[in-house]
Amino acid sequence: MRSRMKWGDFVIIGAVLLLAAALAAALLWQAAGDRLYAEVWQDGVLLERVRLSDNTDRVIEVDGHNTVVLSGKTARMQTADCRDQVCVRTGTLTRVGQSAVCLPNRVLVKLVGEKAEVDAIAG
Amino acid sequence: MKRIFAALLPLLLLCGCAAKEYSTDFFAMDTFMSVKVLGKESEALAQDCERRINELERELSRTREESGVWLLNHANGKAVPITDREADVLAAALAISGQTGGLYDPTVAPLTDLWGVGTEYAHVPEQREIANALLQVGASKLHLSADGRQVQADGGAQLDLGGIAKGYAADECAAILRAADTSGLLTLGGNIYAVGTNHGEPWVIGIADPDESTDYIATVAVQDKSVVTSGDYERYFEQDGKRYHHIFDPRTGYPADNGLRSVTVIDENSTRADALTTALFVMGLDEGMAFCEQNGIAAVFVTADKQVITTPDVPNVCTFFFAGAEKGYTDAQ
Repeated sequence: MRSRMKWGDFVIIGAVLLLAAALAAALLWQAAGDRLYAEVWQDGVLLERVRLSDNTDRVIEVDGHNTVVLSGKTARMQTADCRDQVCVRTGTLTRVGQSAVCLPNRVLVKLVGEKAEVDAIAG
Repeated sequence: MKRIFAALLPLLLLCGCAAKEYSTDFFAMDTFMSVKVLGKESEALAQDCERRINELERELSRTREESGVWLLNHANGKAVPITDREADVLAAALAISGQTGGLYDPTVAPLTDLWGVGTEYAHVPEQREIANALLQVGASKLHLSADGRQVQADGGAQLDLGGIAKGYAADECAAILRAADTSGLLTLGGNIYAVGTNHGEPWVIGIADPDESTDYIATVAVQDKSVVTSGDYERYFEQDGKRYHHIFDPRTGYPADNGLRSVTVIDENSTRADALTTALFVMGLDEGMAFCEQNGIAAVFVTADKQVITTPDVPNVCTFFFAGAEKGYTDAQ
């Protein structure tokens, strides 16, 4: 059996190495991402995904029911037209994984992005 | 051709290493839920979990007319047929109610309805109204037939499985993931189930700061455990400067008022943990600690004077880490 490599083999090996390098770069870039985003959801639908930076300053109205304020690297539910006001009382979100939920209006604002310190909060 | 495959193999392996996971967020059982599943079948399994939770909500709900619970609550004392699953949840509820001397009580609905905590008519009722509602409260008024196919309620008792439905749903979803031999994190409101490991590491769950529930004052690192917290900060209203929350003492008809802010239970059975947090919150610190020591329960108590107290069994089920010093809490071991 002849086992000498042909030029076609080098092309394939080269292509595979390039692809592997590209994939590894993509994975590493993803892992190293320390970006912070605020997401606003309504009834399971993503309405807005905003990258937060030190000078973020934005107000998002959700159907006239809820007002989300993005300020610097924080987000908060500023107003809600429901009675219980749980989401407003939740206060300012500053860390990945935190969320403020308005159950009556099914509106959610949450911070996603960089690695969270905890996987979930019981409470 | 063989060579092409041989050359592609490492690439395929590399792709396989990029861990797959899938998360879905949704509203169910009057709360916000998030189901995260790891592994190849993550998307299908997460959807299975969501579907199972929605099924359970329909089956166990007090307000949906097709549920066995609704039928029982409108049967005027007659026996009604129930499904195997309803019987299973009810049997668990009655067992824990008995074990806790009735401090977890699946019949407190007349009280919760009267106070309306979390609704627009929330108010402090008159003492006479509370006394009347209490006449209808008591798990001993519920009778599950020996074959588990029928249930009957005496004296206007109303069944409400809301106190353990999320725990039961968490147990069912954990079983779905285990059957598929995979891991995941189920966050059903404040009721968490950490199934398996997070890529080989334990899952890290925060215990909420009662004053700012998006933040935490301690963490527990767990695998294959449920972590459930009940606190006075979840649903409440204020009247005349006093706070009234949603965890009722079935002995007095008032929200439990004993200096506790929250109780967390770490247990492999989420249904049990769910009911126990309620019962322990009503017991208060001293009685609750004694109960946990007697029954081998891992629990974390947070008091109004900012003490965080763990039971002796906590180190057996998780790695506990106190993180509340900056917020003025004391690790009172």
